[in-house]
Amino acid sequence: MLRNKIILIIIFVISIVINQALSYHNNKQIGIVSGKVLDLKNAPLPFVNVFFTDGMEGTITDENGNFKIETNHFGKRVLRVSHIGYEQKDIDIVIKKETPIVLNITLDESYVEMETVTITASSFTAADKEGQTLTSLDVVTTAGAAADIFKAIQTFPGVTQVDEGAGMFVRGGDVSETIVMLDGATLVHPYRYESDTGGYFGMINPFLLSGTYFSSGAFSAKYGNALSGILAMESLGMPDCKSIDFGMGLAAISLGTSYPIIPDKLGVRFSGNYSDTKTLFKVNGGTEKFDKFPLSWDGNLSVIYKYSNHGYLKYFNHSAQDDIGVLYESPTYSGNFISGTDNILNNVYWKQMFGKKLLTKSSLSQNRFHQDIMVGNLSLKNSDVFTKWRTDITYTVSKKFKINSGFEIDNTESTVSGSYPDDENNLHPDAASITFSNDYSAFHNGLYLECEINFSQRIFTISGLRFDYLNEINTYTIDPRFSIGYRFTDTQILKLATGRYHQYPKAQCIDAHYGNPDLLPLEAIHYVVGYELKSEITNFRAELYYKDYNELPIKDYEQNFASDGYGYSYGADLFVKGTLPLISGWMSYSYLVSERKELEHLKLVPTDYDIRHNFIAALKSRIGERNSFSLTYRYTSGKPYTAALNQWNSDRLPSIQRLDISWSYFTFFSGRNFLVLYAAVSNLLDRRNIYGYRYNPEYTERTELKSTFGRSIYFGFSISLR
Amino acid sequence: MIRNFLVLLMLTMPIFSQTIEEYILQGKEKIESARLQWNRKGMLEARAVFERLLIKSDKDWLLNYYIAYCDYRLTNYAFGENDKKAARKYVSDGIKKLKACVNEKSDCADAYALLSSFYGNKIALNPWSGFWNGPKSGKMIEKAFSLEPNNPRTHLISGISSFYTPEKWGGGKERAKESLSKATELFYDENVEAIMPDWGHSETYGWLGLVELAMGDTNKAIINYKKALEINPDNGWVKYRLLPQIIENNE
Repeated sequence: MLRNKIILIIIFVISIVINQALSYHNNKQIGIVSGKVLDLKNAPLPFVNVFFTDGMEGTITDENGNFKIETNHFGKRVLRVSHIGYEQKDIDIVIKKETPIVLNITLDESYVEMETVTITASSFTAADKEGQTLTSLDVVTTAGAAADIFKAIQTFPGVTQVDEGAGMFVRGGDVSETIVMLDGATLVHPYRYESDTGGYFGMINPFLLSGTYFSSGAFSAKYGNALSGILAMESLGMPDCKSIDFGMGLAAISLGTSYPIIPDKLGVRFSGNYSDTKTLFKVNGGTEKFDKFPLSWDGNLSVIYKYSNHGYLKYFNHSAQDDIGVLYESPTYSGNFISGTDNILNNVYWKQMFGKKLLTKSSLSQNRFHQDIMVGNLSLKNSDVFTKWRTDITYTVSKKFKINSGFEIDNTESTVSGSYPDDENNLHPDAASITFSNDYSAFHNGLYLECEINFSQRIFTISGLRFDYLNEINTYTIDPRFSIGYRFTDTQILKLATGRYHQYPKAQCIDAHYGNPDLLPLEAIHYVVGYELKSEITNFRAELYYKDYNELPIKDYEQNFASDGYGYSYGADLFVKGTLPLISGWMSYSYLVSERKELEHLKLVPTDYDIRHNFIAALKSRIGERNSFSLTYRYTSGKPYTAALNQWNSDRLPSIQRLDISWSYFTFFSGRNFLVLYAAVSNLLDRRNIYGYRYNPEYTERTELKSTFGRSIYFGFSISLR
Repeated sequence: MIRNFLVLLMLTMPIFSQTIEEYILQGKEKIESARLQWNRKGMLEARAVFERLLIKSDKDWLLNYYIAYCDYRLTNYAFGENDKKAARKYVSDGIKKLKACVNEKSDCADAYALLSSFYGNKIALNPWSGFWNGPKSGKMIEKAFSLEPNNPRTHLISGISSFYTPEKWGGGKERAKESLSKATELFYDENVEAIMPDWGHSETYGWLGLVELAMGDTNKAIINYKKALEINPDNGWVKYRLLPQIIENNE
């Protein structure tokens, strides 16, 4: 027993001696890696993590950026240098015995940690994310926007408001030149109470949206068949809690609910809105005489199935209907204008991440639209069925290089039938009319490829190429697009963008009988220079642009239409958004010149939407924790109108001023439930702005088209139960 | 005999290969030591340990959690130094790491609770962002509660959040006191694996003391501070700041 113990003690001593010897031997043959870590301005970076990737050997730099690692593992190794807010760097080194390595390492500031840069000029993003330009809450708290995303975007620069409607006239482009998309589906008729200037409201409620991207020009190759602007919206995703929202106002009632059936796996959302404006007009009066007060409803259903952490499927349905009967007055005819519209969108959206680098988004959608219009002896029935498949693919090669590609295939089936007056100036119901029926069918496909490259911490580019083909006129177009951003300080960016854009002529222009099937696609070339300053409390943007239009359709006595029209627009947009302790909001100013030789305008003249000066201030203030006030002031210089035969747009209407204010009161009750009370006064200055004239054929008599309301009020409440 | 020799040789050999668990425990100790001493460099050293471990571990979610926890502490230092730029970086990194954590382990209540706190920090950085970060913070804490109703750190974070949120917006001192008191009870019963998150016991009493003080009860505040020191006599925050402050003010 004792003998064993003695042996063990001897072994223990021998072990220590051997280990000491080994340790001594290792210390004698140590490799040393030392150096300094600096930022791009050569300032030392303290507390940077410097370590070998094949073990736990490592250190952090001292206050002066210096580090030193001693190792007894020799040969090829990788030294990783990592610091929050900086790009991680891996350095290959070969460690040799007794040969110290000294390194001077420079780290670039990281892309992901810095504020997101919208490289594309002229674009605004809207989402419930910090730092974004417009949130859903901004939309509903902007006075005068009537909780309408289109009307809220009209407070941004580059968008001209030609009347009291929601029409998006972007940088000297017609309302039809801005396409509106939802989860990849195109909304062919994105307005309610549709008119030739768009419509009175947008089709989609802002509370259905999780994000919106709006571009007023030089947009990427992802978007085709649009000459001027893009409004791409994304609907809400998986509900994470049960909720019921109920709202009631002077002219509307709404109910919405969301329900996670299997949390984080399967969820459903539903909302319905019903609007009857009778009481609103009774309370506020109004210039229009209604036979049938504007009435509309819509229902929205979405079902989201998240089948894995990498993908989900979303079905979205939007069904809407509106009706209106209003007195139409012109020097030659007075009678009721009756309109009824049905608009249904079905969309299946699939988003899937393959591995860590490949993201695909696909949408299969159908938008069915039907409209009946009747005024005097003019009667129109219009049905459109637009079916589309779109897929977008993003492959992230590295943080510095990304490839976007995708395609869209769509089919339009359209029928227009009815009767139109034999004498276009005589709408009397007893006057002679001609019946007609027209079918239109078109198949379009588009394809794009785009590269996003961050050449350095400072320079970003997007280069893209787009191909589109329309079978109806058997024409294809190829559009190159390019934008570059240069971040010359942490907060300031300079952007340049250019591109060619095409849009197919309207169906009636290429109709074999009434139009000209040989028309070319309309073309615009955009040039944009922009400057942006993004600080913690302010976002300032200034942009100059020039757009060159060609191949515009123009009336032609022999061919009905010819592609001989042309035009241009140029201008400057200024935008400042700020957050101060008591007040927040934004101001925008746009200067615009837009002239075209197009359609009936047989010489180069200002367009109907050539509004030279447009100034908007949308300000909000919170008083205490519950009350918030908002104010929107708009000044718009007079738009052109035609006051004499063939003197197109030679005169200008008076300028328009409008002041809207609103108040809301917000309070929680029983936990996370909340109540919002709100009231708004529109057109506080009670100005009867003139938005146009209707003339008789001889231009000797006219009637004024004025603001629908003078000073008017609206109030209501909403309750959210969670 | 040879076996004995080899065992002894191994025991006396310098440690070349520790297990991941051992490294995590060392990292946790580093965090705790840095936290108690309000030592920014120490916290960054602890963070560096977890970052190095990420390369070799299959416990990514836990390492991401600890890196985010370091970020959480570093955010507090940055706030203390009024360095908003640094705070923003830590908050952003912390959220990223916690998202990676819950992506891998979707039932990690501790991660959701910390996420809630980071969204609260975002509001501190930009009060207007409360409109969207407030609900996000609320959802995260709810998720944490739904996963582990008796996790003391969720109650602690909820209590801190209530302390800074006005009563009208669903917060207030009473609520804070309620949550923190509940947390103190739960900490006594907490029994988790050594490598799992277990921070906050002593700290909770510090917060409870602060709430009592804000409610005007200095004596209760002092009792709570003392309890904090009973649990951890090295709690520098209570020992060198909260307690001396209250004594100084009383004098």
